[in-house]
Amino acid sequence: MNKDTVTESLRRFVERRDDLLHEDEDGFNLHLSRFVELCERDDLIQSVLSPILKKCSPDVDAWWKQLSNNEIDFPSDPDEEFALRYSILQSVNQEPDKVYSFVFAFGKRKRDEGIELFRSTVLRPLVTELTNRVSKAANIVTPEERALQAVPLSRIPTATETRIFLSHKSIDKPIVMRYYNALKALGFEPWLDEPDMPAGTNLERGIFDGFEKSCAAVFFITENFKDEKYLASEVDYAIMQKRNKGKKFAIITFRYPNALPVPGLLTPYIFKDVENDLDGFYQLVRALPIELGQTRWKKEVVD
Amino acid sequence: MVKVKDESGMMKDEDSVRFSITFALDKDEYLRRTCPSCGRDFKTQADPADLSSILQPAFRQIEAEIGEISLSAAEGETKDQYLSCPYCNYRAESGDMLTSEFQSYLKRFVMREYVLPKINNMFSDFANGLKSSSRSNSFIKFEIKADFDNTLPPRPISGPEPPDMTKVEMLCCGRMIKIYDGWFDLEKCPICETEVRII
Repeated sequence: MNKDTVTESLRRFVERRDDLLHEDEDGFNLHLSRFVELCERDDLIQSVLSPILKKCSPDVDAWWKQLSNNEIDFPSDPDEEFALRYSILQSVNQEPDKVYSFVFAFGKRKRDEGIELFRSTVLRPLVTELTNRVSKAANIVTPEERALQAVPLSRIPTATETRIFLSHKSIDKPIVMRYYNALKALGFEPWLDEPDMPAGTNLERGIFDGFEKSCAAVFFITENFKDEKYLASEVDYAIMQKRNKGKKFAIITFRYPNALPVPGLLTPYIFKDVENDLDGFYQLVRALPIELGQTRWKKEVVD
Repeated sequence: MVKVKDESGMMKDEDSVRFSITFALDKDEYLRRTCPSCGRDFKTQADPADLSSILQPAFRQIEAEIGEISLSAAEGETKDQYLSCPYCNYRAESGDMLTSEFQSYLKRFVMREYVLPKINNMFSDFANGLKSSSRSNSFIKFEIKADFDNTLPPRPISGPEPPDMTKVEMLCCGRMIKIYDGWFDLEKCPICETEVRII
């Protein structure tokens, strides 16, 4: 049973139950037959009723006989009681005049009074129990689902402002590639000169464009990093972006063991001494102004 | 807890009747609501603190239909709370966004627990008065037989509430709602009205 089937079952159940309990006595027989019909053919309700009716075999005739002697009694076992009440309901559905037994037993005179007594003494406790059991069954067959997320518009960046610029000396490429690959695998979009600047791109313009599309610049300060030439331009561009974008741009500086001094312009921003790549990566993800979305199954797992 | 007063205005505590009312939430404890404008259903998390504002508009409607009674939620202050429909953005008081089933349930409950017993008592007093005044005079003798049915209807049952719809976490205010499966055109948070997108 899927969620839609269960929802539809419960909707019909509530509708027919309330008609049976509360609508005018004139339509009682019709509402009763519609309710019993639903109970007999609905899969969800049957999943509750069938096991109990198989297990218990109530003596409904004896119960009616008891009622004619002005006695109302039900078994103490909850399942036995439930099965007996349901069997009484079925028998009234088959022989509607049985409600007169309530009229006589309680010294009443009208059929309507008999119906009200039947509702109060037999039906209401039965449908209350059935409601609880059906409700539990519905919860079991509908598994927990993950929630979607509604994100405020102000928190949704455009596609052209979430790159992560990785600034480094060419000789440190192996270190930076490890960050690049890890960021990519997680779903971030790192910016690196080689893959992001096709042959023939003007270097200075290409780098500037990379900064324009980024929300962070990461500087890898090693013993090879010198604040000169293109690296000096990158430091300048990063500071410019920070001025323009404010909190939506982070300058993150990692100082590796034996590194040269951090360029003076970068010192006011986040800089960390990192022992290894894992430590650096942790610091990087923490410092980024963006975060990734909900956990989901990988496409190949569910296809 | 619901408090029923016999008439409007300031009442002393002994003039009121208190009774508890329960209503069904789904398995994740969400309350179903219906937008009065587009008629579509959604759900909000049921917060006991919001109970007064949920019930008060429904009570006003029952008071108008039945008359002569004043209903109020006994716990907490009633504060105006508004919701926006996640489908059509219609904005209304939280208590005006209840399902017709919920309103019927409340009405049946108040009728069963308060109004009918009161009417029965009234008739009972009236009947006793008539019985004791069976009289005769020199010209004619008559007896009045007073009889009435005091059987109460069965108590209404709330729920079960289907475990339908999809949960949505509102990152703007941290609240959760449920909307129809497959509906991704949410534009505003129904609770805080921040512009949002489901992504």
